[in-house]
Amino acid sequence: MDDTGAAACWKLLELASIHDVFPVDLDVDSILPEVDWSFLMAAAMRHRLLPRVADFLLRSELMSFPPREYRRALVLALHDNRYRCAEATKEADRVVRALADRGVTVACTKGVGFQVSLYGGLGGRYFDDIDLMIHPEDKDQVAETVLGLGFQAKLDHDFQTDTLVELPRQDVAMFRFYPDHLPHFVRPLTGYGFPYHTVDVCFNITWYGAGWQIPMSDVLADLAHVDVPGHDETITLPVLTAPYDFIFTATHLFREAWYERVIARKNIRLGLFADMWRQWHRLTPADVQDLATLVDKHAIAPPIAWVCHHVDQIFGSELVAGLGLDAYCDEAWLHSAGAMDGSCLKWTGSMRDRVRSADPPPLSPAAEPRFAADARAARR
Amino acid sequence: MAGEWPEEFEKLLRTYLPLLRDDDPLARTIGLADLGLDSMSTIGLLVDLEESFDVQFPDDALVPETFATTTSLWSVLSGLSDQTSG
Repeated sequence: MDDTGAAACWKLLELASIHDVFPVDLDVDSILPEVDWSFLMAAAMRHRLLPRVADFLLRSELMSFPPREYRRALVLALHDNRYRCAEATKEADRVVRALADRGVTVACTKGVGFQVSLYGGLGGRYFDDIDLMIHPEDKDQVAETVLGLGFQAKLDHDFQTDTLVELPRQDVAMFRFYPDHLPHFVRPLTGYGFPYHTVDVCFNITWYGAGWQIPMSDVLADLAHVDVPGHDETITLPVLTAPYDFIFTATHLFREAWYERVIARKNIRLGLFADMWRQWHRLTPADVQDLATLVDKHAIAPPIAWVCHHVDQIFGSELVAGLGLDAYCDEAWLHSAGAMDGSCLKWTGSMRDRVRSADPPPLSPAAEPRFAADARAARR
Repeated sequence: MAGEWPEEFEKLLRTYLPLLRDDDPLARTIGLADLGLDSMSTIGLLVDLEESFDVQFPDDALVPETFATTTSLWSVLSGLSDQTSG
């Protein structure tokens, strides 16, 4: 495929990731006819964007462009994801209600809330786990409650045998040595089109041992709610307020993109940056002011600036300027990464290059930049 | 310090301590982190110890304190080995 075809594919993926419909100020005919749909499908799968592309093309009335069999695969991916979202929403509601009955404060984070708050509630954002956030002091009670609902802990799905197997010892140890999440809970399902529900419980909005910490009593002091349309009824779920939701989306992305341990295992996905873009564009002026105040109050500007800069680089947005974070965007910090042995690494090129590559970026030893010590405080 | 722990244990532990020279003795109380044991290699060491000594560290032993010094680590491991053999 020539460069024009690849450029058109990435242009479409970037547009689909942040817009619900094709922007009116862009010319469809300058992009869509150039797209190599085989390349696009592979890239969309790698970035878990098949349902997003399908939702975007349908809402833009552009689904006639992909070849017939790809069109079918896209529509099926969207419907599969909608079904998963609806079933997971019911399950999230069951878990949240059980926790509330025991007096546990809980917020749903990421997919189960984002599908409505950021993506319009039509199943366009790929759904995976039911993510919850709780106070750390509630973790034993949460584990007991979730297990009481039929979930099992420390198990993993072996797709070859389609059975649940023990989580590898390395993974169990990771949860113990970096205590900011409970080991995932899974509940096997039969006849659902997917093998199990997964609940992922987090009790730190940054990560264990980071120099940047925010008391969870602040994070969960006030919660917002989203109304998620289901098969039969609308379900209301508790979620983080918009400023804390923005912060958590940023810290999550930072962890996925900064640590060699994660970089080596999986490439960073475009959709995570799109989540950030969409978070920013839903904020009211008052939310932006609150967010800036929280970033300053909790002294967490460096990782927020790192993420916002790369969102701006990919999508041409102005998050860094909007939050006044320019002072935290020196080059060495923006191109740094944290090595497994606790030292510092660097990468070259742009984040857009990183996202588009099928391979992890080459990392090389580097002097420790400003802020890095706080990022990897517990990585020794 | 020879004889406080088996050679197999020391040999395995040394492979995770890049800052400990081959001819340096493995002191009982020096911090293993100071000898180059980081969090990621701690996990590798844990798995290797469990396989080599046919034990499983309980959850409450999977804490940094267990891996703080040679003595603390051997204390937990030897206790598990005794339970297995007993």
